[in-house]
Amino acid sequence: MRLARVAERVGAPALGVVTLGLLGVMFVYPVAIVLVESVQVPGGYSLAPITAILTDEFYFGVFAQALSDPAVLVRSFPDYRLGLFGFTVYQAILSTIAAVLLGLPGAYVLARFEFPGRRTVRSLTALPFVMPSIMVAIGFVATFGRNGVLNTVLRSLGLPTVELLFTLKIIVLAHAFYDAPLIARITAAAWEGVDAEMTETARSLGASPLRAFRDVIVPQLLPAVLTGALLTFIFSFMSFAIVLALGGLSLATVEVWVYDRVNQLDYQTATALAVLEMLFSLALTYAYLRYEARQRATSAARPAERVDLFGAVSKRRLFAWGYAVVALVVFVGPMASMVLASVTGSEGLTLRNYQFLLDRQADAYDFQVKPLTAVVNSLLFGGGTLLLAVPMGVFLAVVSTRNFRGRKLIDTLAMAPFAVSGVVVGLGLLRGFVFGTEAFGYRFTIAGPIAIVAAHAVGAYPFVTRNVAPALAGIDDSLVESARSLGASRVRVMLDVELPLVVPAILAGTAFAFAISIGEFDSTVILASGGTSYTMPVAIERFIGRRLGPATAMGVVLLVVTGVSFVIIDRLGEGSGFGG
Amino acid sequence: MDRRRFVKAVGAGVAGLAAGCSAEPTEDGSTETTDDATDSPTQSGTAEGTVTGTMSGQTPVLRVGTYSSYVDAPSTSPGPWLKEQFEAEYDAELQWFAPEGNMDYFLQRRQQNVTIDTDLFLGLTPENLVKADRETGEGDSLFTSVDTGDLSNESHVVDDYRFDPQDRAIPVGASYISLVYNQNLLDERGIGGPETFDDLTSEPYEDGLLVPNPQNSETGLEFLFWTVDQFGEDGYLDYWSDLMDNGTQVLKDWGTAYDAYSNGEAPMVVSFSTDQVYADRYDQDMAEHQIAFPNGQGYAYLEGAAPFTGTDKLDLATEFIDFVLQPEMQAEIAERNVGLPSVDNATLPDDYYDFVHEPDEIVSFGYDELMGNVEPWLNDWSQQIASQ
Amino acid sequence: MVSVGSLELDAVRKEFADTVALDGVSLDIAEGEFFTLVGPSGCGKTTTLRTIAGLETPTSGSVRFDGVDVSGVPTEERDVGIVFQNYALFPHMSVRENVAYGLNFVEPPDGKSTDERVTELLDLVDLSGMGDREPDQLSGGQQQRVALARALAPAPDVLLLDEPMSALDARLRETLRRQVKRIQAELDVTTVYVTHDQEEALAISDRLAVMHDGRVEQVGTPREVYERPATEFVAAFVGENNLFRGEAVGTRDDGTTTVAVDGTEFRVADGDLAAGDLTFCVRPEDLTVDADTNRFEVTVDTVEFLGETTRYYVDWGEKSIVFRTPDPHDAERLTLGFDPGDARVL
Repeated sequence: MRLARVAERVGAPALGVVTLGLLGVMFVYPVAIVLVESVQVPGGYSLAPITAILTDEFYFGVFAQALSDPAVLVRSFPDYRLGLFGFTVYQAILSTIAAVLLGLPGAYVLARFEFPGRRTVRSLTALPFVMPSIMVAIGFVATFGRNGVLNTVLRSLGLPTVELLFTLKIIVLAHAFYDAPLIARITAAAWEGVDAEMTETARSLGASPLRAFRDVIVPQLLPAVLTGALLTFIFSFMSFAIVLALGGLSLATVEVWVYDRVNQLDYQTATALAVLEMLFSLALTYAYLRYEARQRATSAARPAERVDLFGAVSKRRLFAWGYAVVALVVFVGPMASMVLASVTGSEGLTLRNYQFLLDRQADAYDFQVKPLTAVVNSLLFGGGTLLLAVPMGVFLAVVSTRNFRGRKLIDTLAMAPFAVSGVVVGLGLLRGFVFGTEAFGYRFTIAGPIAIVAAHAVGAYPFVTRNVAPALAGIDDSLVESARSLGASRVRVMLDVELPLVVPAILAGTAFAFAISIGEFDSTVILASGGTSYTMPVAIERFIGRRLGPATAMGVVLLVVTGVSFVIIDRLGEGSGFGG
Repeated sequence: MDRRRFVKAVGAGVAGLAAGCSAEPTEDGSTETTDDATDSPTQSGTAEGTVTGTMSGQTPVLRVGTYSSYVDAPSTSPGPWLKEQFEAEYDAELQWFAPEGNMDYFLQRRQQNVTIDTDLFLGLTPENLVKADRETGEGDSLFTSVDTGDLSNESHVVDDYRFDPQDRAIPVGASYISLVYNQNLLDERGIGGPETFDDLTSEPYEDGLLVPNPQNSETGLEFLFWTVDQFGEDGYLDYWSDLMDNGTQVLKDWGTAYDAYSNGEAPMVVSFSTDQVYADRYDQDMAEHQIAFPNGQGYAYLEGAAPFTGTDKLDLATEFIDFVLQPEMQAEIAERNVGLPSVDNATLPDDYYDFVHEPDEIVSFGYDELMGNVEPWLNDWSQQIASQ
Repeated sequence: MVSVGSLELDAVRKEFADTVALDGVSLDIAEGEFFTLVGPSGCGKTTTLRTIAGLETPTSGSVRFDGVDVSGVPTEERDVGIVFQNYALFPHMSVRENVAYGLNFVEPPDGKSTDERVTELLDLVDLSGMGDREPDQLSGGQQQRVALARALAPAPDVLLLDEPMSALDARLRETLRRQVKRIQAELDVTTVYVTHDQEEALAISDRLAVMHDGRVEQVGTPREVYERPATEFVAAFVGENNLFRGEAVGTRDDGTTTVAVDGTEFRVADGDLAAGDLTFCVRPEDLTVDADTNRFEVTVDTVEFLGETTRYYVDWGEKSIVFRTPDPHDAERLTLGFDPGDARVL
């Protein structure tokens, strides 16, 4: 009993120290040593590199012009030159809208309908998240390309074909492919918590179903939708590989330029751009968190009954079926195309690509990539990431539900891993860890599994935090107060009452954290460089050649392995009795 | 499992992971290195007990940096074979090291004043050599010169392929940037393969060309150089403006562009003149793998091997380069890397040239032409393409 | 832990951002007493309870348990048991786990095992055999009793009940009220009960404090408060009442004071001429038809049959008056009156 008390007293501060320490070492330090270059000039520091970008028309278009000549805003209205930043924001807004439009009906179907395999489908919604951008690019070309599956079907039906590739539309669609499932999942969880009586009350007061939806359900879903929208916006804003692969350089984003500047070893411009990206994302996050803080509501008593998806034709069933078709095309299409590509060759159906994986496994040299090692590494790193990211994320969620000055600032900074350019993080990891840091006459290097897991955890914990914080805030205060009055310390209340009640949120965060770890490429490839710590996405990249077959086969392995993992994670949660 | 236990199980799981940290003294110039302290960060652990020390009496280790597909491509790569051959011939161990970022990785180490204990780099392009020299500054270099007197076959290196006046980078392989086109798709337009640069900006070839982004791809960058050569510093941007107006797409990298091409998104892609080797190997329709050399030219894609400044095994490195330059090696590497030898006395099978095409005229910028120009050329071009 | 039986609040003031929730609340609650805080919503009664529990920190003033200042002592060390309005049962624990929860932190009393203690309490609240149920399988009344058992399990010195009956239907409330009172008496635990229902407050308490706008208006036994309301607010809030505002205009030989209300003169027993303007109240049951004194004519507005009695809402000029009588009257106009001794001057 005594020992347990001591452990309780020490536990929370210790977790705090570990969390902050990890963040400091794995994120703040490497990012800071790179970002400092944005203000370093010979002989001191200056904001000049940043202001130079702000006033450059290439980056800020009409807004840069307006700094010296405000009249241009009127003169050229509405035909503005957006500049790189302007365009990046513009495409991110479109992507967010598309993701919300695609995600909301998904949330509706997941939350309000019953159909065989519903739980599995819900588990698998995180799958797009793990797909490396290379795979998405391949899948999208195969699905939406000129001779892709979609156009082939349209042609065979005698319908006009669509030209999507190398346009803004396909970029927006690919971003939606990544993020709509996130929105669907977060929103579905909120939807399941909407009390049926509220809708029924609205209906009894004469509101049509649609009106009741708008007036009663929408306001309750809004925080969840906006959480998803914020994340979508930030991810799309920072997008790089997808943009270049599907849209081309003509549709370049800021991150494309960060990457280019780093390639040209022009670190000053690269980091100045990254600082501006980061400030923009963090400002947006801060604004959102202010909003979220005002919205926190307690969850409901009696959720509405689910409707059987299969049954007599009704308006809402038709809607759900229609959505299922869209989802098949947008989400399943690219993945299915990849599966198809993995089993076809010039000779027709073939297992040659899988044979390749087996051969590689058997014959590869030490310095070559073995498929099974990649699978095992991915799973180990994914598990390791959870062990770090879940406690970290939960801890920061708990911190964010406490009232103290500067809370929102900490909350915002907790989201920083999403707001910092992936290229910059990679560069920081390379310099800080792979090259090492000199201290006390020694050069300390961190690499391999430990660094990869830590880097993944830093990239993943914000998902846990963002899922858990609203759920924690939604817990009835009187539960906490009751437990305390019964003699439970603050920590015990957290462990005995609050955390068990937010297990579904923790699980949702866990699934996405796992997905982040499995899909992470940029940092992993740097930290695994030349060693045996490569993961599945690294193997996929390595297997790309003139023929895509081997890479697509590895891609299918990645999908299967992670799909099964998701189902297991969710089943664990359901086994706990609070999965739904 | 009840929920409380689940949470505790997860919460208690901040367990120790396999160590991956190391510390190495920095003050002296000791050549003794531990496994972890090499610039290959994760060589430890599962590597099969290879001893990488350099203590006397042990087999010396030659660490060779390269790009990953040289040692680990899904098709064939010369790396593993070359290692076996070299080790059979010399009392040395060859250790491949293919870091993400290729040469930039070493250049960045140099910029951060971190020791480089890789001995030489294989696969150095002229523009990368220029980049390294630009960053290290006057009188200093990432690479060190090779005494060509020690290279028995050096005199047979094709003159057009030599790109380093200081003999740091010795050409060890070549290939040609060319257009690869799909005659089946061009048939639909009733035209044949493009013959000139102007064809590419003409209406029949509209929406026809995919280019790997020169910002991220050597292939694309050298195509850009080619247009500079063709239209001059003052004219290439106008040409590109016409190209883009004609629906040319600049895609992420060679892989993305080639994938889109393979899916029939466009009838032409900037790639290599060795394309038919693969098409033949995988029984693909040869009509979809036609090679075009606009204006009869091809841009020489060159790869050199260059020892790093500061290597303590310059002799072994030189021996390795000498070995690689041997005609038999050159022939075999060319086949395995699907490229061309850099020497004129390598004998390849007769049918090899059935599928490896060569242009009438070789275009290539030498060191002096590239020095000081790559960055402005590329930057001006990038800003023009991406202006929104 | 601080062992308490009696508790005192001394000039407790609690300010929230821009409101004053408690404005100098002083109370003195004796060991074993059933003490009720009653008042309309927003009067500060719940804040007072939460301050006692340590869930709110007073802006100024002190709370003393057995004479010891407990400022700074956190809730979990105050040895209090709380039952909230919504019961706040832990939804992820069974009934038994809920009741046993507090026993994680203190040894069960009398050397009993946790199991024995839980069984004992479930028996006490008549929920024997329900231990394995989940909270959402219980009715509201059952949940309330689980919450009570849970709060009592660690044998707290002070039991705090925050409107525990408000979500239950009327009949159940009365049953439970008796049960709570019985258990409280049996355990002799000092109890602070918060309710907005004055009837409940009168029925259940040893003493009660009527609160209004963050202040204590009156403290006393139910009878004192009912019969001798100290202020207009108490008079109006506790039980039904009729307030008459007027002016003392004279004194009679029998000691009564004459008060003029809207031109009608009434005699009241304990008035004071010097007071000038004064207010007195008359309970509905003290108004009678055909009384000898203080007669005034009214018009019947609404009649409610309550079984034992009938309640009449009647109009006297502009004023609405309520009275109760066991004898029904059919007339539309009635003459009411009251004994001067039944009028309570405030």
